[in-house]
Amino acid sequence: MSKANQMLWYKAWTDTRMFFFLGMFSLIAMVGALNMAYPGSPGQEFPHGALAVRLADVRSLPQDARSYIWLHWFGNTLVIWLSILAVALASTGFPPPRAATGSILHTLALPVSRRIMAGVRVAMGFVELVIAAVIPTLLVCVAAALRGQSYSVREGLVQSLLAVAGAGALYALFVFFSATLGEMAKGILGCATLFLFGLFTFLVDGVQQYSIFRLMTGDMYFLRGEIPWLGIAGSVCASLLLIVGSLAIVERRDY
Amino acid sequence: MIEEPIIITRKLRKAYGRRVAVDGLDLEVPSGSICGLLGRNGSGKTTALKMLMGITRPDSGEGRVFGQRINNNQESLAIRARTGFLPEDKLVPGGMTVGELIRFTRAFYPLWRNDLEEHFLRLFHLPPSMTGASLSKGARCQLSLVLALSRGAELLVLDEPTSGLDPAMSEQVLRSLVTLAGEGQTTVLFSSHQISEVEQIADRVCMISRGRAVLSEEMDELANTYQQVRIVFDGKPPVSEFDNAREEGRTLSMLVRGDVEEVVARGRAMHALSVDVAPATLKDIFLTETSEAVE
Repeated sequence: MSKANQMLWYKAWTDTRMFFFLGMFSLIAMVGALNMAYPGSPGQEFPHGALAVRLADVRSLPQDARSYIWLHWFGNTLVIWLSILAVALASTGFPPPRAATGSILHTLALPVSRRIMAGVRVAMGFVELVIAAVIPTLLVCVAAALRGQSYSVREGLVQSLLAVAGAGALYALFVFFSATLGEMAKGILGCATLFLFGLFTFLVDGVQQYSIFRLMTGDMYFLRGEIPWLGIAGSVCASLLLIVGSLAIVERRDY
Repeated sequence: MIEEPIIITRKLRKAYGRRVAVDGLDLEVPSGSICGLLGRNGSGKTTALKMLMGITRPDSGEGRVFGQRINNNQESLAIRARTGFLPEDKLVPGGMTVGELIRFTRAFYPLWRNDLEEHFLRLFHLPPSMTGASLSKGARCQLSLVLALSRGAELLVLDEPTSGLDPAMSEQVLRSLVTLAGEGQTTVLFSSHQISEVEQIADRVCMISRGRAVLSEEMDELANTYQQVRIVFDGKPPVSEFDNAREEGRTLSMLVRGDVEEVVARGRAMHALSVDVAPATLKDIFLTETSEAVE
């Protein structure tokens, strides 16, 4: 990798690291909370359901550590925090001209194409999402082992990557919003999209199975051992389309 | 053989919605020159400079820098590799320290001038560990200058390089530009509101009004081309008899482009008490040329 490309990655890191550290700190704190709140006696009722998962499926779960971890970590905490982190990281991307601070002119005047510049930024955000999903999940697995319980590392990795597949689509959607809308419009439309989508997911049975949040919880994998290839493919395709569209917009834009 | 100008634009146009920022700009900047770009607020200077750097795309017209087309992505990269650009607001990425920003920018320019970097860092006393966001406005301007001037660039495109600097610093920066151009390898195009700065260092001036170049001349030629004429009459002066004349009591003042003898003769024929001809100042020329275009 050339020195210039290394520096582009480094700059992307400096631009995003604050949100990344906040996200990691929050997720690691949640790992601690998950362990502290672990119900000691077997058979104790688990208080929560999982996002976008049918209640009947949740009720049918055995009352053990594996179910507890999945419900709390993959079914709630990781989905919520990874979604928030995805939105935050996407907001650090290329802003539209009116919202752009002058600092972007310094970068745009460098001898590097906007496609590479923006591509590196998007890729850095995605890498951070992967790390933010995988590292705390591994901690969850280690903490379970220390407690004398078990949650397989392999299972944890698959679940966390499913969460990333869904969060990646959210990230791409907000990168697209960032590239096309002003700050205010981006905020309003972004929040409205998430709220309405979330509402439909949880209130309308028919929507639930197609929800990005369901993909993130990985219920198919947890309950039936099936990897949701269709959901992954849909999410990846949508992400790619949104990212390619965003890069094309940024490349043609006047600053 | 006549050397091709480093910057050439022909009928360059850029509009933002209904507002036309640059309207058929013809500009030429010869190699090795220091060209001052003068214009009122909103005259299109910044947009023109951003188009040269590929930051903004022209709607129509043609522009070439180093012979490369400014509206072609690949050729624009080649332009930017040989050019140091200083944007108008001189903001730098806020999350990186001064040292990091220098390392970041240096990575893109193989001909980076460490000597100039050290010179300007010494001059400005910039703390290497402070982040861009925590720098004062003046320090940000200074850092932007370090980042633009140390690139070892053949061309410097500077949008108001001394804005935000105190007079002593401004003087140092202007001297540095002259030194860089004097080394013979750097061409400078800078915009300014400060006519005195252009007079001080430019060897060529281009005036823009409403997005058009209304004047583009060597500074040495200006003295031959423009003269300030003051005609004093014994009573109310015949202001309508002279083009662009300004009435001040019994005196008519006017900037004359070209044949001044004809104006002097006409004044004398009208029994003027006195007719004085003096070299026109750049300010006189700027006010006349830009107000003509506005009217």
